[in-house]
Amino acid sequence: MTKGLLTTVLCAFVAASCSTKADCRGDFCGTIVIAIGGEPETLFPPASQTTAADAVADLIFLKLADIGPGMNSVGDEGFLPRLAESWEWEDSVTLVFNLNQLARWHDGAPVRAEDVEFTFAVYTDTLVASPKASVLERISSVTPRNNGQVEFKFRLPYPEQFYDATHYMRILPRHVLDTIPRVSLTSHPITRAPVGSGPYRLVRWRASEAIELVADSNFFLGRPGLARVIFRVTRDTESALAQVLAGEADVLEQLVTGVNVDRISTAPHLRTIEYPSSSYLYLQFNMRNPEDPEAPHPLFRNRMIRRALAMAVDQQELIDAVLGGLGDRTIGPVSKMLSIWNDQIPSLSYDTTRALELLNGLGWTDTDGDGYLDRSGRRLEFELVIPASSRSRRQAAVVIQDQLRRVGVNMVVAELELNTLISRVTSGRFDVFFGSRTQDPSPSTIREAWSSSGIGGANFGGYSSSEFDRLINSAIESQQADSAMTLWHRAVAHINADAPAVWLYSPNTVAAVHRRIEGVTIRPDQWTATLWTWRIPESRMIARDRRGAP
Amino acid sequence: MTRAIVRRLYQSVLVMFVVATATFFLIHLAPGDPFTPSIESANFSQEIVAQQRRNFGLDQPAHIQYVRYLQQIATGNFGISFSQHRPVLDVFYDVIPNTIVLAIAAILIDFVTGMTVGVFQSTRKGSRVDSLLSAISLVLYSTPVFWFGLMLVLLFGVTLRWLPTAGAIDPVVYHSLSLPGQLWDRIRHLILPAATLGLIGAGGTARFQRSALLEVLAEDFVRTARAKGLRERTVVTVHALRNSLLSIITLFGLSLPALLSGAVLVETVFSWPGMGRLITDAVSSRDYPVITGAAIVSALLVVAGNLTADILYRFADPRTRTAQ
Amino acid sequence: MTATPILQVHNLSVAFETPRGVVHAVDDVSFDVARGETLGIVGESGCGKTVTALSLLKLIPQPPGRISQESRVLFDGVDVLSLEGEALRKIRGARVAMIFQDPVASLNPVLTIGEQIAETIRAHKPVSRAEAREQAILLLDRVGIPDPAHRYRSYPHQMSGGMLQRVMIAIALSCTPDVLVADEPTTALDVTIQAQILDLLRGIQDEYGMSLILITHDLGVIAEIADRVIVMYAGQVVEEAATETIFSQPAHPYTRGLIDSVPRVDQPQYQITAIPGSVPPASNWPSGCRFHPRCPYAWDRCETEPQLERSGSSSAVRCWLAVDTDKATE
Ligand SMILES: Nc1ncnc2c1ncn2[C@@H]1O[C@H](COP(=O)(O)OP(=O)(O)OP(=O)(O)O)[C@@H](O)[C@H]1O
Ligand SMILES: [Mg+2]
Repeated sequence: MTKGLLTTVLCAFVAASCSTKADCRGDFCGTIVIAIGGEPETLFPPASQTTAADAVADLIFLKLADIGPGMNSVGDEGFLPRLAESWEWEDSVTLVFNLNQLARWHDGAPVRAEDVEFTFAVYTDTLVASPKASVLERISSVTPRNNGQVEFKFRLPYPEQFYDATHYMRILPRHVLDTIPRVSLTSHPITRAPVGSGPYRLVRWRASEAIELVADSNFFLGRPGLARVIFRVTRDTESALAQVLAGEADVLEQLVTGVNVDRISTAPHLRTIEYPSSSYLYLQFNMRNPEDPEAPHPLFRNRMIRRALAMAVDQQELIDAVLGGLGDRTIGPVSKMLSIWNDQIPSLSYDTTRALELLNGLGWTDTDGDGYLDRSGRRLEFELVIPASSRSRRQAAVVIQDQLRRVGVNMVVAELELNTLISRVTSGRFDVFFGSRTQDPSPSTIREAWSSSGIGGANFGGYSSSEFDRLINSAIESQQADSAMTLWHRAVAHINADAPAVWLYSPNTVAAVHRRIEGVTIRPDQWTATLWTWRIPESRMIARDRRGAP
Repeated sequence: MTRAIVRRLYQSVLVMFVVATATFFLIHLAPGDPFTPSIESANFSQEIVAQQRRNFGLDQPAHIQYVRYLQQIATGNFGISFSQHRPVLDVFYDVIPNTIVLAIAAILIDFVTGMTVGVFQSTRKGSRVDSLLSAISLVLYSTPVFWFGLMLVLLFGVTLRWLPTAGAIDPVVYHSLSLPGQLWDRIRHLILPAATLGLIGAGGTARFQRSALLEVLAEDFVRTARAKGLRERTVVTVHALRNSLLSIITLFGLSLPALLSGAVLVETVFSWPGMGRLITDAVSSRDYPVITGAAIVSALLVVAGNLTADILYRFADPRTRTAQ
Repeated sequence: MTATPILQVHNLSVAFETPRGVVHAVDDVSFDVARGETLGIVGESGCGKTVTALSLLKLIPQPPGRISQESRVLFDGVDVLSLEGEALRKIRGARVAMIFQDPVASLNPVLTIGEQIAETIRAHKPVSRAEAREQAILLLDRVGIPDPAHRYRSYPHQMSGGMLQRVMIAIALSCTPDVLVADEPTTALDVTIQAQILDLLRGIQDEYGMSLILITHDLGVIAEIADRVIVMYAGQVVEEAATETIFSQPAHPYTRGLIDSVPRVDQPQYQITAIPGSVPPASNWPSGCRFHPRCPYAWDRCETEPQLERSGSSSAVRCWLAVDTDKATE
């Protein structure tokens, strides 16, 4: 009797878990699961601060226009129409967008010019305190002309006007958000139940677990190829790997190490896709004395020491040892994604003989025969601070330490908890900092990190060169694409010669993607930007694709 | 009995207060600030940072923040998460049940296997199975949680594909399943993480149970039970095991904090949507309200566990009940 | 002689393997117990009384204990030491029952005393829970516990030592055994309580007509209730005799020493003459006569070990003095 009952219950379980609902047919079915490295903290774009939040939000919300595959940020060349169907410049500070009449919010309401005006108001409202507000400072107003036309006024003409007008703002639905007081906007429940106008809409968000999106089959730019996209929150890379290897997840956008890439390559159902990353790593010299910010650093105020150290580091060995070959040596403070990347730019190359000559010339010699250089009784040594949380940087630090020992330099590595590191680095209490920077498609962010205008901000080492400042300012202001490029290259060559940092590498990002998915393209600055054009042909679908939309 | 429980409740209020205070000041003393902009990507203005700090009351001096915080907590409000922009209680509501389910499943596996093996061993003390099981439990006991979990994932998830490797549910199908189907889906997802945490604990529990039972088996009343002509099974289960339960219950109370901290690791390996991962994230992003809230909740869970142990103890040992 | 003895112990030797070597706790002990008889076993602490008692029900933990091959404990003609499992269980508690020295430690602290009686009944008799309970309450009443129905639900910690020893007796009586082994039943109790417990034991022995083995180091107790006495020293039987004989004509110097050390109410002016020294450790018995280092009559012959010499049907002594009567009369 009990046994019979047990069997019945078990059968019910099995039947229920295997039962397939609505068999989806056709090329637009497809369900993919993405193992995403973090959980969006919000799906209210003005408040978002993490790549995970942007990755999901960019499937739900649209910008007026998207940057093109060439990553050009100057002028409007290469930009792709999104909510705006077209645009025209009325004068150098007036840009008018014509909205696509077919564009609709997920609740069916048409997208109007007031939505764009409202969006700008929200992004720049100090009560909202959007991190994006400061990049919109040069836009003076956004005004609707009529339902389908919106006018942007700039405070002054500059090359990246179009980029600023389109790249940072995801257009928000005024009719949904208007009634909510601005100050409570970022913590309102609507931030977790977004209404957008993008290819996908949110079905459900299981906190800490999964976010499920379903395609808007009437999407005005064309029907999305995949019916469902599920982001599964997976903080741990090992867990993410296990999921794609076991076939539970279809996409992992960051394999991180060469070992992981090898493991994926052995799985017949997966393929790897390599794309340039938006970050670069470097050892930043502190130009100021860590004990006394007014005084110069005893070692690194000397350009020759910096150059010698830069020449003593073998980037290729680092790339092989730490990334398993998955990366390029950087040509300056430039990630491989940027349009200004060019490996012909002059930079200091690895040359230990020259490095040693330079140091000897400065009076640093090994007088006591202990293998380390010294001068007037002081050994040539300094401290490198690194975040303890970064495994790759810990590995790299050891390799660099060894390379420097070969030229007689003693580098001591200090692993710091992230917040301690931040407070030391931002207050200038360090010798050398192992940094990593993630860039926007626009090269103009180089200015805040390395020019003298960034001192007190993101220029932690306090490098200051009036020539570099001049070159970079004119590069940013230049209206001509060709001359801008030349100026950028000259600026980079200049900073390379000054060596305020040892440029190390820009890692290549490798994604693992299930082989049944076709049309996979990845935009380096935002890997989900083109996800809505991926698709799965009916012939290659697997069980989960047939489940279709809920 | 009820008096003792009431006293425990008073204690837990005190514990909460101490934990809230200690955590509050510890995180305010720790370097870092929730609204420090990233040093690794595009910067945003100090103005915005200042505004964000104002929005969350961080511009006030620490003692004022502290008093406000206590007032809030007293009304059952843990504030608003800095990073998730929503009430901490909502955040907890989403993750705490998952952690509790995992912990309970792990405790069941831990104590059921651990005690069974320990009892089995002590009835065969000195035999070859006994030493084999002792070796196994010692190895398990000293296995790193993270590594063990990973091995289980690779074996049962990736190679054999018997069980899912991650999460508490299968997000692809879960919402279209019938109720029993959903339950089954949850059980399948629970097996590996609970087994990881439970088996490692079982290693220790087995060793503990073995020695506890051996100790009791040497007691006079066990000899009496044998002399009375009771069956050996009755002697072991009714007389010896019941008395060894007393020390096992103490172990249970003591193992709760370890279990919770082990859960942090297991939740990472299995992408389990629980409190452990929330705390790790909150600490690195300096999400003060979540950190303090989580510390209080963890303390409460431990207090609740100890209260359970107390009550169990009272049931198991008549001597601790008030004398008639 | 009437029927065969209910219990016959032949050549019982028990040793323990300890980290400090082999302990010969009991060495070649033999004795009989007739039906209805009360046999006393006396001896100082550590001389092997408890080990002997436990061996009767094969309760010696093995290992570390080891009972020699030659040892026999014949209960009603069956060798208890050769029994295992159910057959052994059916004798324990049902035919041969035991009570121990420390009633507090001997009862399970987490079970009610009623349960501990009832479970014994149910282990041997096909009765329902309710019937077992009723019988247990009757037994509690019989052993003199007031308000037994209420006391049934008490836990050991709620009762005094004397009461608990009564409970132990109730447990022992629950299946009306043929033999009751009482190992120092009164040692742990107050003097006033001791007498009550002894009275109780004597009463129930009369009533049930069972054999009683009473282990004690108190000769006063022996004098009160034993029919026959065995004196043990250092794991061996050194003398065996009827109770009157022991007191009137103790044959062994050790027995004499024991008798002399009993405080006597009738002659308070006499000083108590205790035996000098103490029992040597069981891991290292003296060679020859084990008592000779402490014996006031020791002579050179005592360097070799004397045998237990029987004289008559119920007397025996292990002493060279008993063999060499010349010496004895000196
Ligand atoms: N389990 C055991 N392991 C080792 N030695 C033991 C064990 N049980 C008893 N012995 C030893 O056997 C010897 C006899 O012990 P036993 O308990 O029989 O003495 P006893 O005459 O009952 O003394 P007491 O009056 O103190 O009860 C002692 O020396 C004791 O140390
Ligand atoms: Mg004894």
